[in-house]
Amino acid sequence: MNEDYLWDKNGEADPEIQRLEQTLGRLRFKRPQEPLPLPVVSRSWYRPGFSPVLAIAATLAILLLAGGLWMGFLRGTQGLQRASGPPRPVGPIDVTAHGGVKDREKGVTNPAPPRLPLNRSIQRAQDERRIQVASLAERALRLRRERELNRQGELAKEQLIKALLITSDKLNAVQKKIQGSQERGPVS
Amino acid sequence: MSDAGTAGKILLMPGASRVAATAAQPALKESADAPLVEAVRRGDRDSFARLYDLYGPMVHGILLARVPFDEVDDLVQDVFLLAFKKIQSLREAGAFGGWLAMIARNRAVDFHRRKRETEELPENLTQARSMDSEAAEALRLIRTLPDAYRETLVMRLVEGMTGPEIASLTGLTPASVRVNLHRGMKLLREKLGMEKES
Repeated sequence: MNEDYLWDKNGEADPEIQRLEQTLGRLRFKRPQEPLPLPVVSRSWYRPGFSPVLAIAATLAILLLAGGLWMGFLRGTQGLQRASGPPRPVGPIDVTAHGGVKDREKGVTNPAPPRLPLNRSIQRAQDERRIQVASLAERALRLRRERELNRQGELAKEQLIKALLITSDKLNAVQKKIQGSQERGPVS
Repeated sequence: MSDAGTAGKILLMPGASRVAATAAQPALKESADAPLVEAVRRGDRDSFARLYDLYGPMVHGILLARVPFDEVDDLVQDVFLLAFKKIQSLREAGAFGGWLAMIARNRAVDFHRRKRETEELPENLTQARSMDSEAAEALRLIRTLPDAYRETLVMRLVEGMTGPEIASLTGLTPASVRVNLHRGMKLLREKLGMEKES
């Protein structure tokens, strides 16, 4: 067999291949006379690099992210409200090695509930959570104290203004009396 | 294992799974048809007509190796219409040939699936109307060869393309095409010899 002729039609022609070419060549592709009926494609959707599936996926991802952020925000505000709800006398908080919460000022330790043996990472996470809750409670208490101080300051200010008004009234009355006695002259 | 079986496993690209076909393709080279593809993407229909002229024989050959002769012309049109609709999804303009060949192979698979769902006609009944018996017999023998061999042989013997042209249009390596042609022709000669003896 002449490999060159089979490969690129060069070299000595192989009679069997030539015979096959002649026989099968009748089935060769013939371009139709009428042009290909190409459809009208809307170019707005068919931009290079644009994928509708990718666009939908990106939109969903953004929506999920926004939803997650919103849920996180809601949970945060609810936690703050819960922490600042019932008044609880708390001093500087110390978390003991056993997980109890200790009030340093009063020297009282709130015993932690009995726990099953957990691995360290879970314990650490619980401790961190407890510290977070305690710091939130502390912050809420500080806010309440500040608000109380502000209210007392306002009251004191009002009382001071009232006292000043009364004093000025009295002084006016005294001044008028003095002026009146001077106009009447000395009593003989 | 026979020669044909081994070659079929090692060099089988056309008609094999999508993954096998893409893995066997060479690294993308700068294709002269890339500007035409880009022009079609910009809406130039004349460039698509040029691509139709260039790649028509390849698509015709791929389909002729798989489906009945009198169905091939309609399927060629289907393949090009599908390619025109989907051309924006083609990432590398230089890979147009391999991409189009894959569309043609998938279209042939679809044809056989739908044919099974509707009706089953003997293949030689429909072919006898459209081509002479000698050509029909030669084509029948080629179709008994493994996928990779019959596709390259049809392009060479029916469409009159040379090996380098087949490699350039389909995106296969020249070495693969050469081996497929050589081994396919060897098997075809054996089959033709057996036919003559019988």
